[in-house]
Amino acid sequence: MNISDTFGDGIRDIPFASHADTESEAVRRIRDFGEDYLGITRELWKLVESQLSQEAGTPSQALEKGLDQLRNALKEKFVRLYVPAFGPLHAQQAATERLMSTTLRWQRAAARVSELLSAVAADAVARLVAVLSGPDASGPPVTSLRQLHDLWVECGEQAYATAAHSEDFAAAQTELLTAMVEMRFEQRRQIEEWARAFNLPTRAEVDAIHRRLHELARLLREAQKR
Amino acid sequence: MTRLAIDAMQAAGEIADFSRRMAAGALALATLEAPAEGCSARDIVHREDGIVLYRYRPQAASAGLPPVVICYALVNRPYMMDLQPDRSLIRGLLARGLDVYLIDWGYPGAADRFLELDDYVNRYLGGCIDHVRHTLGVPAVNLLGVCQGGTLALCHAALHPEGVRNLITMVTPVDFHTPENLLSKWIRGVDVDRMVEAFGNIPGELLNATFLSLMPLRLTSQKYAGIADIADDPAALANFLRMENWIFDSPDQAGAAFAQFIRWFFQENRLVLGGLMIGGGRVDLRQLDCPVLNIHAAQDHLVPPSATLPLRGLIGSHDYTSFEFDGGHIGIYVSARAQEILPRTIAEWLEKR
Repeated sequence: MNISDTFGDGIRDIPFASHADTESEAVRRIRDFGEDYLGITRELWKLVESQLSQEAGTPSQALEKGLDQLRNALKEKFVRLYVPAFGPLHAQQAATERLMSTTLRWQRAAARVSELLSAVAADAVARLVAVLSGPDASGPPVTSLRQLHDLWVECGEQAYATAAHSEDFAAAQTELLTAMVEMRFEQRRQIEEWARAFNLPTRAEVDAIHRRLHELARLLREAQKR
Repeated sequence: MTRLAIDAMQAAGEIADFSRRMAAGALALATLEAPAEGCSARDIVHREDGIVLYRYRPQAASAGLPPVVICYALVNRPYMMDLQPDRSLIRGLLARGLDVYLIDWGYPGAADRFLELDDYVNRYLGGCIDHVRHTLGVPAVNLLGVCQGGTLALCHAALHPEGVRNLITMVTPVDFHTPENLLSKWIRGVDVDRMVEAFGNIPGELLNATFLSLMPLRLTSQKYAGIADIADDPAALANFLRMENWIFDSPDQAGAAFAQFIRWFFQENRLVLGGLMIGGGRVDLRQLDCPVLNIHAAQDHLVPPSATLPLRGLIGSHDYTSFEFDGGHIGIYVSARAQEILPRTIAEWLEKR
């Protein structure tokens, strides 16, 4: 289903949508995004329907695969969320886009770290198996779950240390922290906008006062020394 | 051939026993009082902003040595130095007749966002040392810097050598670019000014998460599974709770000082490579000519020996002693051996100087 089927050509009558035959880039993007979003929602519903029709206890590999596809589709579509800000609320629109964009960046960074940690977990298990039954396995038998747990911890720390010192891991950690900082920055900016709207003092304003006080106190100490 | 020889029935029994012991441990922990911050009698002798200087009451006849001023790290609370009666470096020093002072940096609040290293190294640390010098009428003190506090103490001693008679550094990072330094690798590419702009003061929780991520399994899963082993031992549970309380009692870091510390030390390694300026003064370790005792822990995962041992080649002093403690970054404060070895080592070293 195309979104135009629902709304007809009415969408082209919106004032900022340019002329009837040549819709603006912004409107086209919004429309594309809406179509994508509806399409994904429709696919999700189909997936749920197909699951409901299956017998209880049926392996859900198909469901998992379908959800993965939808997740990927969502990720891909959200990357295209950006539309140029315009109109009286352009500042708010731009701020919201920045917040969503930084949130997505943080999600991607967190996913990358998770991916690396999954590899560490797999390496830990491989090391544990090698220690227990590999060609070089030696040492007393492991007779309790607690011993097994401690051995797993040892293998896990070895695997983690190897990965954590790699450039890939450092880059992923740096990106995660940077993305979190940028997201936090945008969150703070939004909160400050709200605070200003209600004439409440903001962090930035209080910081400015603290900075002035700090500088004044320093000047005073220097003057007292002279 | 496999080493795995776990009997299914035995494993089921082990799980049941582990669950029982963990539940008993949790119940026993719930009956314990909140741990106190420090255990030895002391008095507040000086304050500036949120900084407090404590003087400990004597516990033995005076050894007649200049006072010891302990400068702890900014990232954790200093009561680790006096955690409990049988785990207290301060008690060990008091028992040898030393006059002990401790700087408590407090919990920086939003108003401290613009405090710089200049404030910590020159104003606060300098103010504490000057207070001791003036009230006791001594020309210089023995300065004991611990962990990051050791780095601050090194900077202070290089900038103001006249006030420091002897310098003791414990598990102190000097070279921040050694290959083992994971924190340095992770933070090197971060725009720390932007980070402070976004956070203001840096939350202690963020630092805690970072420290945990250095050894994530040992410091979480394995540590907490250990509760089962001490579930029937109230004293061990109290020790555990005290340590947990300390580990997660992490003050926020004053934004500007944090940014400077990360940039100048972790990212630019200026203490080793040069170019470190604090409060307009050049920090040149070659100006540090007082005797130095550098104590490190052989199995330290936070400040490995390679990060602290380069100190010898950087300072101007010819009286340099290195002491290796067989333990880790935390064990050096709280292990039973540390209680016996470290106060004796420090007191004997000071007696000769």
